Amino acid sequence: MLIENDFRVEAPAGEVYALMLDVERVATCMPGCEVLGQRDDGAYDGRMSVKLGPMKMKYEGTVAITAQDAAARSAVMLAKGVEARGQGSAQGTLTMSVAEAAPAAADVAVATDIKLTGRVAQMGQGIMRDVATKMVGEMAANMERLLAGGEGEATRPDAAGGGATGAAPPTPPPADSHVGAGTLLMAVIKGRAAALRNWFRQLRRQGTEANR
Amino acid sequence: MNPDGKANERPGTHVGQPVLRLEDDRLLRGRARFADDVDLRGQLHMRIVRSPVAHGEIRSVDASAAEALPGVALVLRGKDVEELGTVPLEQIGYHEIFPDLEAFGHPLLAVDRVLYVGQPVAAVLAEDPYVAEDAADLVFVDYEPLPVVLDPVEALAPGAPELHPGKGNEGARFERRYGDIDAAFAAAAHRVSLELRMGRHTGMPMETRNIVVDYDRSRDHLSVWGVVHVHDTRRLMAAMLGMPLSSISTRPTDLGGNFGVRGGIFPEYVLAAFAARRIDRPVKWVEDRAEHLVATSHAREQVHRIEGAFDADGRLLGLRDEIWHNKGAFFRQAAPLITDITVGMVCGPYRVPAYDGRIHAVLTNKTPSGAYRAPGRYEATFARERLLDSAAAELGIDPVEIRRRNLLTEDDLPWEPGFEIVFEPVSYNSGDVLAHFEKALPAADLEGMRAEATELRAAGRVVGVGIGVLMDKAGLGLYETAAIEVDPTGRIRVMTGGSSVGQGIETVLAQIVADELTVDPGQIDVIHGDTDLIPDGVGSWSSRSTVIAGGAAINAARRTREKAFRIAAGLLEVAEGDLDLQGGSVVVRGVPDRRLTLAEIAAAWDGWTARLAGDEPGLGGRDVYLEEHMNYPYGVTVVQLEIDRRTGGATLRRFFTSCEAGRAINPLTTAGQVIGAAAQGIGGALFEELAYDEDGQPLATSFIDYLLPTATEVPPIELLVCEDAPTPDNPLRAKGIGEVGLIAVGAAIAAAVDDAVGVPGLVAKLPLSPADLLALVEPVRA
Repeated sequence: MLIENDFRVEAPAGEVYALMLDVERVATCMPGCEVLGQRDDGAYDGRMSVKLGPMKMKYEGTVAITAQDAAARSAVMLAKGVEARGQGSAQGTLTMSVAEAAPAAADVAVATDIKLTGRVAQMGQGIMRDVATKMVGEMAANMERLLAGGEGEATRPDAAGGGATGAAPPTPPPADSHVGAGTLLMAVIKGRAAALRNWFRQLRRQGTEANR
Repeated sequence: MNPDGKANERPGTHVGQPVLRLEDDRLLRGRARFADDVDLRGQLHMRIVRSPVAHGEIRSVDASAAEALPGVALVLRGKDVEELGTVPLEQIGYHEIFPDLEAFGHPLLAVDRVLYVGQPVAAVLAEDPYVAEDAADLVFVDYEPLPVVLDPVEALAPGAPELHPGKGNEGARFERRYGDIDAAFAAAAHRVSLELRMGRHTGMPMETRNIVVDYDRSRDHLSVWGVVHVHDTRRLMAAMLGMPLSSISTRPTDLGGNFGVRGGIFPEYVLAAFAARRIDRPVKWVEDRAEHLVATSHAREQVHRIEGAFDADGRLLGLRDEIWHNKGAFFRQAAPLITDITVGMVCGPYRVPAYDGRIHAVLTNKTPSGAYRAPGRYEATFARERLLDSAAAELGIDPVEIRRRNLLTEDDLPWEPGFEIVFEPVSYNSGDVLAHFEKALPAADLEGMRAEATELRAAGRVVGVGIGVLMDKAGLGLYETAAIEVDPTGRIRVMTGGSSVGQGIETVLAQIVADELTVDPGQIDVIHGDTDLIPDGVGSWSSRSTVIAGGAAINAARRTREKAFRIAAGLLEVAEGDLDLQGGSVVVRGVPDRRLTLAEIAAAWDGWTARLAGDEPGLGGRDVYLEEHMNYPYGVTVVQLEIDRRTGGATLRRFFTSCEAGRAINPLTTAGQVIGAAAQGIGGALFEELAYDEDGQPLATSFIDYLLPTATEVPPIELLVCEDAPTPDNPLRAKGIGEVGLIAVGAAIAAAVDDAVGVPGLVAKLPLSPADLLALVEPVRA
């Protein structure tokens, strides 16, 4: 499934692009993701935990930049892993591009293509899409904070304060945190409940109109 | 034959009556025993590790962590069972046409390659099911993914990934033709061609596949609970395990549905039996629903390129159909049979002078498919009826009229196109489809449905009416066995080779035997599924139980009666010709108080008495009933359907279906069969689809995504069961009606959608999801 996110960062496009190529930093924007070290071939070993309701999945695999085009300021990052326990696998292809919006502002587009196998797919397609959209959305928000944080953040990963632009704290979530059932699944359910409420409201309105 | 030499022509006391189902007493009171209710002391629970990739090489299987888990007794890998070979296909003649057939057989566990998501890779046996499932998660399999092919047309294109190296992706091809097809198309005033797609779905019985195996080491003997077609399963299991047939016995259980898709022998069954023997302990395997959705037989998925030649008046001159049948990754036992039936049933109930049909049985990286209630007929009927609707539109005539001009009548019989289906020559020898059609349409109130739809459309609603006409084939499988024993207590035991899968066979056989023996059906116990008591049999499929198992039961009952007369004549010291059977007693004609009940006769004929007389002890009879001809029920389905413009939801406002049953043994179970089948037809047309993504990942792996029609979606079914054309081929005069209710539902719903939207020939695929329906309705809204 393909999930697309766009956001604007108040920083020069060139700087944003350079930062985006820093796999170790960008990968940690994914909630529950942890980079363990670099391999000889340039790829990074990584680990990711996801907890969905009663299911807890732990993936182990690699992250690498598989394509980059400096002129177009675009890059493709491939993260793939298999479940350490269980029979599933996960793969994410992030196609990221940066466009200059103004001399000190850049538009970032991240298209994430997620492929999942194994028991996680049993959650149902609708729920899975909602969950993945939520996760990628959080990743994009973390990237936005990271990129907006600029140099100050990059040199001081523990910095609690905002960067030059005064954006939200840039620190990505702790590496060992996983996406918890309480937050993620509840967010999805709340979203669905809201949609349902609106639908009922609409129906009621129509019913009232029809009765007039 | 009766002792008087005449066939039994007297009206049935119980046959033909709506006798309440005898099996329901235990089913509704929770007293039934299913395989999962069988627990054996010391049993191990089996859990299957299944492939998460649709096509891949297995680099390694590491089960060390699973084996180390406390409570795990055994882990089987592909190499451990490789020498048992693949699950053999049915030996019914296809091997002579396709010598390579066994190359597509299903391995018990994958060794170096996996071909679909859900394929068994390893089996874990543990002390309890939770440990087994946890341990299965610890088996680490390293896969190297390979390119997948999922579409049956693409799978035959050059350069498509090959599933079975060196064998190609076409596992079998059937061609059926008669008449001068080229001349038909050359002479045609109208030619209509369509490409139609039938989605993948399956039977979804309430009870998933289960098996319990007990091992008796003292005799090297296996007892098996939970399989459906016991004789076939036992035979193939014995062959694979290298055991004598007599070393495997099946035990009866209740069965929570079959519909064809759980009837065969599956790798999991053989694994459970192998493991029980290897580890010398009972083994239990209960499939969960998530497994069932990827690992039981799927069905239906076909592509039809169908073409019709019509004269200026809309009369069919010829039909061509090229069909791609998506069989999934391996061939199940009956795989060629369903493909064969499809191409043989395309012409249906119509007078088609020339036909050229070709079907490819194609291997793809999806779950293997099997027979699902009305295999081939649901698909082919959808294609053919779509073609007729399009032709009617092109000719500017009513869909009713084009059918009227082409349906077979009594004058066309016997209709013998000159080819075979499953090695039995096709011959429609009784009935009049046109006459049935003319009777069904007013009964359905077609005109009323249409007038109402027109009114509602004028008011802005999206409502339409569709018709489908069907021809079924029933009663394959040559023979069935029956044995009857009268107990001195008065209970009568009927042992049948058929299987009780929920269809009501216990009641129907009891009715048949009750009439022959002039007793109450409640006195009769129907026994099935026990190979110690019933060493030979064929089973329930192909709408064969009433006709064939019923034929065997009727003959066994008549033999029982003959024996009762013979024994009673001696005991009462009268001539056999002076005896009659009334109310379960043999009576001397004209002397009503000189009588012996069947129970008294059975008691009198104990071992010593009978042996002294040089006879078999007890009262009973047995029979093997042979039926070399299939029978061909037919029917009509008419639906009125509304589409919600905003949600795309479909509502079946009216649903009528009819069938020619020859003779309905039990109107209640007949109605139950037709209504149940109709519900499954609705599922296949509007709800159920086993969809896959482009990598071969199944998208419907729970009932969240695999939607079944429930009580709120299935409308009241208006039913017309006719007994106008009793079949001449069997003593009951019955036709098999287990599948008719399903066959034309897809066709009728597609036609109703066309009519609702006002675009003939619009629907080219099933099922139609709300999203599909919205897309069809929207251009018309604009």
